[in-house]
Formats: sequence, C-alpha cells, structure tokens
Amino acid sequence: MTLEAKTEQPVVITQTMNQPKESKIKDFLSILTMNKAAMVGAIIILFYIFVALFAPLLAPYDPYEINLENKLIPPSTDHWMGTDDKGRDILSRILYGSRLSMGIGITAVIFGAFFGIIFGLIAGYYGKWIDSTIMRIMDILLAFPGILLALAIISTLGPGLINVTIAVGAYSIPLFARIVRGSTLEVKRLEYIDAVRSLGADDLTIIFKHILPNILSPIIVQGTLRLATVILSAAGLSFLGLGAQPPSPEWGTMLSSGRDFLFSAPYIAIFPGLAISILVLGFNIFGDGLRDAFDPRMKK
Amino acid sequence: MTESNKPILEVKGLKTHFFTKRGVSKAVDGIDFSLHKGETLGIVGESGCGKSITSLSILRLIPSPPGKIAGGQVLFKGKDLVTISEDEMRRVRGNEISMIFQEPMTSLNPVLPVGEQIAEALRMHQNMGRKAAWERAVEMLKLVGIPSPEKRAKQEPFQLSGGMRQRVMIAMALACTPEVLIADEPTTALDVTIQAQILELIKDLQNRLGMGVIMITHDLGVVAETCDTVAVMYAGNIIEHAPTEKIFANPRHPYTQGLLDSLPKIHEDQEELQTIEGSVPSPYNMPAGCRFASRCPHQQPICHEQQPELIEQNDGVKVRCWMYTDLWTVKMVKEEAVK
Repeated sequence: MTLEAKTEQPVVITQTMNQPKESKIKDFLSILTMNKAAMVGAIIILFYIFVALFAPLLAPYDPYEINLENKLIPPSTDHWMGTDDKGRDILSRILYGSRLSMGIGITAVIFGAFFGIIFGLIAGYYGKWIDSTIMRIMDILLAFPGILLALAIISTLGPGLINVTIAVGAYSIPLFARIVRGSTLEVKRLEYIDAVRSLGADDLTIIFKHILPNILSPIIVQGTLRLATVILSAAGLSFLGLGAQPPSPEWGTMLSSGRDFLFSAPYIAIFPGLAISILVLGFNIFGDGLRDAFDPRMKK
Repeated sequence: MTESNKPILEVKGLKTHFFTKRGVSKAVDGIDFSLHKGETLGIVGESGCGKSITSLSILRLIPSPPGKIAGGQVLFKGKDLVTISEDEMRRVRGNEISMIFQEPMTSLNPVLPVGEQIAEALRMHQNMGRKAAWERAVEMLKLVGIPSPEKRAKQEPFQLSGGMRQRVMIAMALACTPEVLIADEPTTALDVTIQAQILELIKDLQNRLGMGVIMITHDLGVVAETCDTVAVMYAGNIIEHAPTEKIFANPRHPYTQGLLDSLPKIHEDQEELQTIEGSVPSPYNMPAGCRFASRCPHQQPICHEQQPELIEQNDGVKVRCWMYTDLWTVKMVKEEAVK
C-alpha cells in the first residue's frame, strides 16, 4: 500500500499549487539549503533575533545611561563600538535597538499583510466590481512612492514609533493585496474549490480554509522581502526625526544623532548604519532564496 | 401517481447560457428529464455537448459571470432549485444532492487531511461535533473500501493513489447520505481496472442508500453497465431519451446510431472504426433547424428549417428527429432510397 502511494506521486506535475505538502517541505528545504546566499541570510536573521531576545544579557552597559565624562570615546576594549556624544555605549544601544527595529519591522509587515491578505482574498474571490474597486484603491496607494505615502500618514497622525509602524505597514497593504489576489484567482479556478462548494461550503470557509492555506508561499516570500524594506523605511523616517524620538536607541535615530560628528567621530553613525544594512541584506537574500525554493521551475 | 412513482428530481426546460464578448453561448438549451429514487440516469454525449454544464446547473455551480441559468426549473422535493436563496441552496449541496468530480487528482484540497475534508461536510450539514464528524469520516472511508481508514483519514491527498482519491471523493459526497448523486465522469481519469471497482462501488452504495444517480459520461460502456435510462445530449439538447436496453438494441436518432456505430465491435472484422463526419455547430451560432442536420446521413430540407421536438414514441422512447414524425413522408424515404 505504501508502495502504491509512492508510485502515484509523480502524476501531479502540471499544478504548481497542488504540490504535495510534505514532499514540498522536503524539496523546499533542500533547495533552500543548497542556496548558499539564502543560508547566509537565514544565519544573519537568526543572529539578529537572538540579539534582540537577549539584549539585556548581552549589553555591557545601560543603553540610556548618560555619562558625559566618557563621551566620544573611539572603539576600544571597554567600549567596542565607542561611545556617543552623551557618553552612552554604542554597542549596548545597538543591541537594544535591534528590538525596536525588528519589532517595528515585524509589526508593520503583519499589519500590512493582514489587511493586504483580506483585501486580496476578497477582490480575487468575488471579482466583478468588488475586485475593481479594491484594486483601484490599491493602485492609488501604490502610485505614491513608499516613503512619501509614509510621510503623508505621519504628518496626519504625528511622529512616533507606533505611527511609523502604521505608516510603513500601510504601504505594504497594496503589495500583499496584489499578490494574494493573483494567487486567489489562480486557486479559485481549481477543481477542488468547485468540489468543496458542491458540498455546501460557504464563502468564508472556502476563502479561509481552502484558498488561503494554498497561497501561503507567495505571501511568506513577500513578507520576508517586505521586512527588509519596512525596516529600512522605518529607520529612514526615524532618521528624519519622524519616528522613534531620542534618546530611544532606534538605529535610524542613532544615525541621525551621529550626523553632527561624521568627521570627528564617524563610528557613532557607522555602527548603526552597518547594523541596518546587514539586517536588510539578510532579509533580502533570504527572501530571494525562499522565492527560488518555492518556485516550481527551480526544481530539477 | 403514487408517492413512490414521483420523481425526486425533475428538470424542466433548463437553459444555461454563457454571455461572453463573442455572443451568447447556449451551452444547455432547454432540457427535460426526471430522476426517481434508486434510478440511474446516464447523460451521454461528446465533449462540449453540455452534459457537465447540466450537472453544474442543477447545483447552481455555474461560474457567473459569464454563465447564467436563463430559464427552466429544477424541481427537487417540491423546491425549484433555480429560484431558492443561496443559503437554502447551500443546505441542499452536499447534503441532499452531491456531486463527484471527474479529476480525483485535483478535486481534493492538497493541504488538508482527507478525513478532515469528509468531516467538513458533516459538520456543515449535520451539526456534528469535531470528534463525531471525524469518526463518521473514518466510517465513510471504510464504507468506500479504503483499507486501514483510521490511518488514511489522517493522510493528505498526495499520499493516496488516484483510485483511492476517487473513493475519498465518493465518501465526501455520500457522507451526508444525499438523495441524489451526480457523478460527472467519475471514472474517466482512472485506470481501466480501477474504473470497474469505482462503478461497482457507486452501484453498491446506491442500492444501500437508495439514492438516485445521474451518471455523466462519454463512455457508452459505463452507460451499458450502470444506467437504467439514458439521455443522449447533442449541442445543448437531449436528442434521445430511453431505457438503456432500448438505446443499445434499437437506437433511433441518427446521432445515437452514429455513436454506437463508432464503437469497435468484437464480433465483426473491422478494418477501420466508424466516425461521424463533420463537427458540432458552434454554440454561438446554432443552426435554426436540427443541430445535427449538417452531419446527418438522412438530412432533408425540413431538417435545416425547423428544429424537431423531443417526441415520445409508442414504446416510450423519446427522440428529437423529423424521421419519427408524420412530416417525414414516404416520398422523402423513397428519395433517399434512390440516392
């Protein structure tokens, strides 16, 4: 019997969405691990997550403690990344800052994905005028450059950490909506959706139980790639003074305060900048690797 | 008419049209049939003749737009399924009328355990709890002849063979013991050896549950094996409707004759298989007369002018052809003989 199940497997070649789940996960992991860049990305991300979780244990100093006697010390054995103009240890601030950046990033992406997925599912499933209305609104949102849209939202809501999260998250909504709508259109034509409907399932069951689980892979890829952009945008907005406010150890804010000492004490700006760049790089290459692993054309 | 003689499902003048940019495609154009308890009705015809659209119309699963039920009635236990609300329709689907689809490979959700998919129907219609529904799902798997059903119920579709998936589909469709089962080419995608098993299974379950079955197929072999009555469809119409043995013994409509002639015959020495010349008219541009006229070996001027009605003959066979009307004069037949 087990033999029979095995020999039947290769029959499903034509559908991309109907890949068997377990073999899919296996395939997926093997392709992902073959992709060196993606593995580097994954290691970077795991490292940052580790740092964010254990920041209080890892940080050698209090990130908020002002000590004017120790200000502007270049990197040394006491202060690996030096101290800033108020004598705060930059390494400790970066370690704590990872919590803020990751927190903003993840919250904003979840916020954007949540609404994007709902809009996309509704638009794709119901079609007709509902689809046109939702997607035109999404097009309008997409027509703005991301940072400009975020600026507009913040100028309405006022600066602050939560508002920045909402602003950068809002910009992700149309991107998720588009991808989800496209995948929904594809999946809803498949025969099993008809089969489920012929059993008397209502729209909500069909959408959330039978369509959503089958379109998760593009959503996960998009989510990972969006994390990079969102973290970068949030840092950018904080740099402009619209996000996290000093003395918060948010990397964008730190970058901004290092601006004045770019020539005398460049390390104040360099280390937060590096922290942002490496994290964004990590998410980007990991996201690309994920996309390749999910793409059936990459399979040999 | 006594209660037992009353059909459970009656389709009257059903029309399903597709409104597209190219025009109106009359995929199903006024068909009538009825189905009794325990009866198996075969709907036969080539691809695109409207047989699948008929079954989807009964359950109101036509993709809309562009499809629309443009007229007629589907009477089920006194309700007209064409006009009831979507909520009421949902309670009928899977509960009172179920459907098995052609392609077992794609008709199951690839990411849900099959037991869960069967249990879902039970939870929806029978208000069963999670555990009770699961137990019933396992029972259903056992009923459709799947070995070690407790284990199989937890597996996902890809872990099952095509034949087993079709059994799962049948279990899903029958979980709520419907009164009507529509089987849309249930064996087309299966190996010949599995085909017989699945047909046997459907027949067996029909006897046990006493449901009416509509068997949609293009395979006359399946019809001969399973059906009590047959409706032959051509270009959106039923052109012949008769008890199975009468259709096979004495096909009336030239199209039905052609279909039967095109089967390979075991006792005759045939060099080539017979075919029916010509092709089906475009659904966007149906001829005014008989839709089969241009391919018909017996065609007469009247065939191209006016569409014949589906007329019941003395022996109960219904046929839609001018040859079986009074208008078909002796003269015409003579002319044909000369030709």
